[in-house]
Amino acid sequence: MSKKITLRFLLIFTFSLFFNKYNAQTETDLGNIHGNFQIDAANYQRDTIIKADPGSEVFRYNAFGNINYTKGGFSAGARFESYNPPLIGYLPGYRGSGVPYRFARYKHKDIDITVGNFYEQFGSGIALRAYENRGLLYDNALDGMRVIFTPRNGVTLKGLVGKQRTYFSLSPGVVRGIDGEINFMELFDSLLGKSKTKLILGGSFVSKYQQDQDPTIVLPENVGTSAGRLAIIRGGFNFNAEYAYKINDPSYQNKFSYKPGQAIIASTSYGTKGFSIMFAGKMLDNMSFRSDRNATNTIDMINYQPDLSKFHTYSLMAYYPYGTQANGEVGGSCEIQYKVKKGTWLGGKYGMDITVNGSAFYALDTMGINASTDSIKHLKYSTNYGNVGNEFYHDINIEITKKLSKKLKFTMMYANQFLNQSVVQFNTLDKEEHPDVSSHIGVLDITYKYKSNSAIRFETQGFFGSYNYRDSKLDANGVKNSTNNTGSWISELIEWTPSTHWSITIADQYNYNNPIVAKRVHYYFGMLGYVNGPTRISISYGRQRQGIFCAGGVCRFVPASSGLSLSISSSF
Amino acid sequence: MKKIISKITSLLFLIGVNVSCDYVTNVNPPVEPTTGPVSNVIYRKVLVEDYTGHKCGNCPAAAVVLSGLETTFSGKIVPLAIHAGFFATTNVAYPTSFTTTAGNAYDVLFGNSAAGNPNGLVNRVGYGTGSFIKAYSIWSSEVAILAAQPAKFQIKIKNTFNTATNLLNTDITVKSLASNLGTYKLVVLLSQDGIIAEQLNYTLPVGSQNVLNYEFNHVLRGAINSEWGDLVFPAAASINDSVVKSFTGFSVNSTYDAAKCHVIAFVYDADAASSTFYEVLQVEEEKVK
Repeated sequence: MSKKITLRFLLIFTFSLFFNKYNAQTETDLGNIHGNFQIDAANYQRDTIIKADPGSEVFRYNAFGNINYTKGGFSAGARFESYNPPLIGYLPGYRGSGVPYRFARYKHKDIDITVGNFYEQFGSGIALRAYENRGLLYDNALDGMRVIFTPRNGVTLKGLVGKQRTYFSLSPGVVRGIDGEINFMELFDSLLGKSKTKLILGGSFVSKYQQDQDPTIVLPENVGTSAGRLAIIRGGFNFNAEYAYKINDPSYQNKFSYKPGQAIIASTSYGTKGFSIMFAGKMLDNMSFRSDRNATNTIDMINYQPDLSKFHTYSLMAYYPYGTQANGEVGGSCEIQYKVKKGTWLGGKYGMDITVNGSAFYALDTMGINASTDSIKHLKYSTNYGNVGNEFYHDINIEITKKLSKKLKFTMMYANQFLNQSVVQFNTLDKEEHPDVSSHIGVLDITYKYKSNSAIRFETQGFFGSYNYRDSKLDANGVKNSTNNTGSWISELIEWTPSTHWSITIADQYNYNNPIVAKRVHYYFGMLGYVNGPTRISISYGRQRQGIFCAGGVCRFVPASSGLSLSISSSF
Repeated sequence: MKKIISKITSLLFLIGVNVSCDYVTNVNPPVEPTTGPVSNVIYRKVLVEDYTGHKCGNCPAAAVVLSGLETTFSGKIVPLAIHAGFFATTNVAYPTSFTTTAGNAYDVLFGNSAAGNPNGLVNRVGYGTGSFIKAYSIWSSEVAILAAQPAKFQIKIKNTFNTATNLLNTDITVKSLASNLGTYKLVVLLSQDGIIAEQLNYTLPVGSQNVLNYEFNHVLRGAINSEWGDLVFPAAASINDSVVKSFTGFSVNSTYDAAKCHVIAFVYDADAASSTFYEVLQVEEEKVK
């Protein structure tokens, strides 16, 4: 059976490669081929003002292309990727070309089998989440086999085994996982099907195996994570919670702590016409779970520790972003959305949308262990779950969107943010080198649609930061240390869309009151974009700020860059 | 067909359920009885490169691991600290430059600082693969594997140092221990121990992390021939083929303490078409005086 399918697929695939020009999007007896591709290339230049020096490899690119084939319950596909070398700011380990993703999948009634590469998520992802984010060049796809079995309506069982992608090779560890989920309303349809309340229970177990080759210490070769979850849905009300426990998992990430990991994540929301409210909370303690205990950066992560902070699209709102602290944190977020009705004093003719969002995250209250026996000492620390530690981050923001007329609309946004930069980005308590940053940020975004397919958008942003050098010392000249103080910024942008195909953007970020006068630099940027159906082409020229990206005790300096960029993407 | 699929499913689930969890109660490995040499086989020595920088607060932790490896694998490793990249640049607080032309060349080609300090290379195994650059936590297991492999080459170093002129002559004897048909190059470097200077160290309590008298060891000071070296054998080498490469009149910087300097010599696979391109096949070190 499988041989026949394979042979037939190969014949069809070869045939279709020659003739898909004519029938690519048409479902025929031969099946359907579809795909997409994208290339982002840059020609960098030296820019002494912002200290951008690309070295000798001035041309860099990230490129990929997917080709997928489907016929009935069968599908197969592959993705080619090439980075020679990758764009500045991406992990250099991706240098190279190859086909790191290829799969064949067969679905028939209650069975769904995948061989090769696949992505998967159990529950919230705290036990397992294999996914990709092409913008970040994050890809932890599994290479192995997965079976999804649905023996009855409302019951789903999943089993998988495989190795994770590590650049263009595979992780040294093997991941094995099972997951089961029961939707009681669907399972007992005749009894509970008409119930207004829906109850879903799930559980998963994920284990990794990695050989212990270290002659100096005993490392667990099999490490398991168990998780249980619950979802209750009734009308506009929704509640989700998941708890996970991981056994001893010493790794580079957790400084080889043998302490078991725990996590609890919960969210609840209520929505009705014109109004919604959402609360989410989490506690993560030593839950970094990787298939290679020596992995750094964002490589070989088996699970996903959710980030509940708001994802900002305006650049200065995201000037000091927050990322989940892999070794532990506690925090939560709340968001309220309200639509002011049309015809009211505030709502006017078109209504008005108001979103208020707040989030805050803190360190766990931990204490180092200095016991006499090795087994306890290697736990490294204990956690007091009844308390929290220092603040890592907060973000309180309000966003108002209002349409004033058929042609004019605006968005206003304000945020108050705090970042414990030394701990969150630099893994140290040293406030002298890395001060806490508090900021007020404002955005005004106005769009004027002067014809049905033509518009001009103005965007102005301001970032007003204060840098708290606790324990600050004076230098020989009696001046306080001001390292890593970039002061405040303003940003201006004009985007003109003369037709549905073309757009022109001109922008500038100005570090107008950097304490060092020589660093009061304009980061200008210009872009010409063309869109035609699924095809998008853009050419841009400008400067990119430098920054330091740190994760789990590893810091990567992303240098400033300047140059010409080209981006092309399409699909068929 | 459905039965087969069901069996596969059941099998997968059983595999999943039955995988064990290893609870570790004692992290110390059992002590194995010491045994004498069992043969005259010459094993590989292992070049462990620590890519670091004085402004890299996380880097002293890697230096501690490297120091531990010297004890665990006494006589089996050659440590080398390469200061390169952003965290190795100087400023008022960290004025001492440890960067070298050779170190910068390695860092640019191998991408170590771009991957995030600290990290390292172990015999430069795996060039072109994602596992080429290694976190310090994996160094010991990598060394254990490589140090157990028979060597393809043997290296002997003989140094003569003129204290009055600071000129160094070094004779490197490379002997082929197998039929070596590829292209191999010899690199000769100078390293120095016991340099006292400023280092940021996050393993220390807040307020004392800017260490003024940190001791730097195994610091790469420069290449005696060149960073990418010279051909060892003009053609394929047979077993017991031997060659002596002499480097005379190398001027050791007068500010270096020659008594704490070492000559490091290594032979690597220089065939760009080889699957082990850049891999260090044998390494040796010897005090300058």
